[in-house]
Amino acid sequence: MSHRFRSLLSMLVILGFMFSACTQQQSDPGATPTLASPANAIQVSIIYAPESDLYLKEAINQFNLAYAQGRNPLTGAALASGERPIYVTGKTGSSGTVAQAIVNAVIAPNNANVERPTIFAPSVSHWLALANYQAGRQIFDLTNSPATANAPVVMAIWESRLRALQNANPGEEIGWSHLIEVLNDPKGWESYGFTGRRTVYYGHTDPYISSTAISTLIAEFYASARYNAGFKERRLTLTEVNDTKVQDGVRRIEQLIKHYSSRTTEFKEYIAQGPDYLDFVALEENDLIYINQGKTQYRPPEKLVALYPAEGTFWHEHPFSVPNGDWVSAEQREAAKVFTDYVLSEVVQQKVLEAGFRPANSKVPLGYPISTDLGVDPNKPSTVLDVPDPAVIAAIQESWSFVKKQADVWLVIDVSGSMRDEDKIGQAKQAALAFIDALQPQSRVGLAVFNNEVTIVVEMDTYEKNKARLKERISSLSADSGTALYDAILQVMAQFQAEADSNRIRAMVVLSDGQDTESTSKVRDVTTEISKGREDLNPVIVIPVAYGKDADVQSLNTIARASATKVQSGDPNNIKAVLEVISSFF
Amino acid sequence: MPRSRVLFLLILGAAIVVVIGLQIFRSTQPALPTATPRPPLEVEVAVNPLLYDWATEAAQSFNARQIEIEGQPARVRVTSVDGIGVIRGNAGWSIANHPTAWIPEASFLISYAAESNWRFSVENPSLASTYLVWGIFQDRLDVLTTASPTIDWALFQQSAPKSWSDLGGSANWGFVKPAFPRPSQSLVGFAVMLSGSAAFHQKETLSDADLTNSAFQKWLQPVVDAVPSFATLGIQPGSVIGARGASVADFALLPESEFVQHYSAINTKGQFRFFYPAYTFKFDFPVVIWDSANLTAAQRGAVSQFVNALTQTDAQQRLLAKGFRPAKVALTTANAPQFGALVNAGLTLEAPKSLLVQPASRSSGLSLLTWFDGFRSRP
Repeated sequence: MSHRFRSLLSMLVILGFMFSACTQQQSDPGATPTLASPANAIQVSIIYAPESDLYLKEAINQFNLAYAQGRNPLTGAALASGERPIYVTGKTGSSGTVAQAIVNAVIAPNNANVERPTIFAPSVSHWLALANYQAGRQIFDLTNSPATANAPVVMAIWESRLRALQNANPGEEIGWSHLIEVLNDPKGWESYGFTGRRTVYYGHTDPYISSTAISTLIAEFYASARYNAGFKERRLTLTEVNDTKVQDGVRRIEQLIKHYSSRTTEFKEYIAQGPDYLDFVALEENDLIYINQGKTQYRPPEKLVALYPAEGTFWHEHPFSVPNGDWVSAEQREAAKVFTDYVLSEVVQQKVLEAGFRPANSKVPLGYPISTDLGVDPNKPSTVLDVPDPAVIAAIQESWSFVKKQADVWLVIDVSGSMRDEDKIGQAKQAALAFIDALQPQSRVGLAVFNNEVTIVVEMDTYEKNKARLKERISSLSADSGTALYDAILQVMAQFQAEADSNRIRAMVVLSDGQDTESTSKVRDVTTEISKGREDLNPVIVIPVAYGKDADVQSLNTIARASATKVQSGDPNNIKAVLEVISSFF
Repeated sequence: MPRSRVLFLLILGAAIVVVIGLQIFRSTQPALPTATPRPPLEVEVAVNPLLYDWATEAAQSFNARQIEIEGQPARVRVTSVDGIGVIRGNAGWSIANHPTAWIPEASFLISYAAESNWRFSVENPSLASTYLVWGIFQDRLDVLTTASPTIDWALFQQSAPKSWSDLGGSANWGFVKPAFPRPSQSLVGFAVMLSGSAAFHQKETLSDADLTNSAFQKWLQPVVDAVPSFATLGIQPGSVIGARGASVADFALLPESEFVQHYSAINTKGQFRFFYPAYTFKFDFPVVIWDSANLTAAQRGAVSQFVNALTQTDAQQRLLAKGFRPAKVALTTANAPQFGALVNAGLTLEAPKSLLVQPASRSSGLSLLTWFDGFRSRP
């Protein structure tokens, strides 16, 4: 290209820019849209459950784009004279956390956790009822909170396990009572033709945060009341929730928990590793479809199928609800209705279906991916459980602290010399302190560190006794010398084995930034030791955290696989968040 | 300096001069005289939820026509209001703050509203009608009819507290689950209670004593209690049944229109049948204009024009498509195939032969709602 030609080209470009700068024509509708809010737009904010991001993010964009182009998104017609555009901003939030934040906005506006959205779209309307109950006023009008996407809560169970249950109970629809029978059977899965592990491994999320968890915990109370207390009525009351026989039954179900989590995200990934990790897990149907579509990191070794408990389940209907708060104006309320109608339109509802949810608009017929090919049954569930009174739901939620499985947790931190690089040790200490703060008060916890040798810094004891000491010792940690990762894991395993199995979650969180240089043992010794306990009711779970770019991910992966867990990756920037997520497992 | 650079600077300079010149020229030009459009003449029409979508579509067409009244383009803004909100004083209406016109679910609401000293003039006595009708999944019906061949309130009331296995049905169906909208928030739900009262008292004209009668309320209690979740059903249980099938409701008492709109979806969940109750409720959708000194003749004229549009054949045809019985267009299987598809399942093209329930006074209606709120506070 000649110099002269380049100069002329530059001039033309400059002229083009200048020309466009002094013209004010409308942009081409086919060009990349500008999605900034129009100046006179009515602002609508929405906070929605994370799983809805699969379709709502795009729906919000398309809605805003229509107004940016001067069209009504519902009819496609040009905006009438005087018709104001609407501009929607959306973000995701865990249903329980956001519900509490909206309650705070009404009754405790100075609280740190406050949200004031125009629309709140939790996974299930339980949260709206609970918010009204907790606030002592009608923040949400439940009758006028239309469903926008439906998903029944299911037990995602391995097909072989479900088939075994069906063979053992011919002609019966499988439900909680059958799962409880496996748990009560001294031979466990062996009675159903499975060799190897007899005990049942189960998982669910935190019922203060997660919709699936609160629905599942209510279902557990229904199941326990029927199985253990002869309950035959249609609806749980406080009498059943406060009945010790019922609570003991729920506690026995919770004993099957391998570990908890704040989000279903982790469980989707974990269960996809196969039956060695979990036998069944409570999920929304769309999550199961997601796994069977191969969208998780691991491909499941066999098909997961949905068990729709015979006793009934709950539909998660993803309601759109406008809070009765002073931050929502009448015009925002009307604009919220327009957006809700748009989300219920056939175009958006088709996207809802594609994302694995059942459409709320009955004009959109059920179709793929709601298919037996993907482990779900379009004709199920057969029935639902009655939604109890909000006071009963609140009591169930509160009961969790004493029916949940308690945990013994060892925090094992690498303090080798390489941890001094990039102030990894400093960030790790901050993250460990946050981890300790986030643990449940019923937990027991201990601290070990390793460099070229392994040191038990704080012996395992109750959270109450150990918390202050742990924080003090963590704050004074310093890094030097080599890395004896394998020896550290084996030594902490020995600590677990020295104690009687008190039917608690037994977990070791190992944070390491480099290759083992000092151990007398090998990685094979570690995996052998872990594997010895894998058939136990409460196997020691090793959760490795690969910290920084030099971590020995290969060895940590080997250890994680032996423990049927997953390596968590962290760096100095995100290690605090990583450990906080892990703390929700207990 | 090379020639090409000189050329570049010359052209760049010329371009800057042209751009600046253009801007100066623009800024010094007097604005062209433009005719200031007169602001639209906006009227608010409050519409019941059953007709809200239809009225909204009609208003969009009406507004697009830019009909001028006294030189101003008429513009209709449709808002949604449930008759229960008006009865209970929750609609936010007052003498000073109210819509221009109102399309309630049923005529009796006008006299209820008049008890608040509000005055209305009837613009149209009825845009359309629809009747309460029972809808039930065939497999559930088969079980119930072994006990009684008469499909109406008595049968449903007796079965409501039971489980399907108690009644001889499948244990997998769980407990009996009726469906209707929450009466304290939906006029349809209130009409269901009126129909129940008429069935209990065996008469269509209800007195105050009939609604506040404790024996009736006790009789109704198991039906109200058996609804698993009014929040789940929302204000359109037909849509919810269409989406989630018999898992959420075995039978429902709803306006015909709602079943027609969602029948194709409901029928994919299981064969469905219809039965008119002996004492049904007719929703007749009158249009009233608020009698107010603040209302101008132009506003009144705009409403009249809009109501006129609502009674035109095209708008009335759209009512047919939504399962209503339009006032101005006869209902036939030919012009209403959606409705006709349900005739074999039990709907009738002619008005049902049931007796039409006449409600009692507003105060007794409010008493019944208060009883409901006290009995059924949960969602």
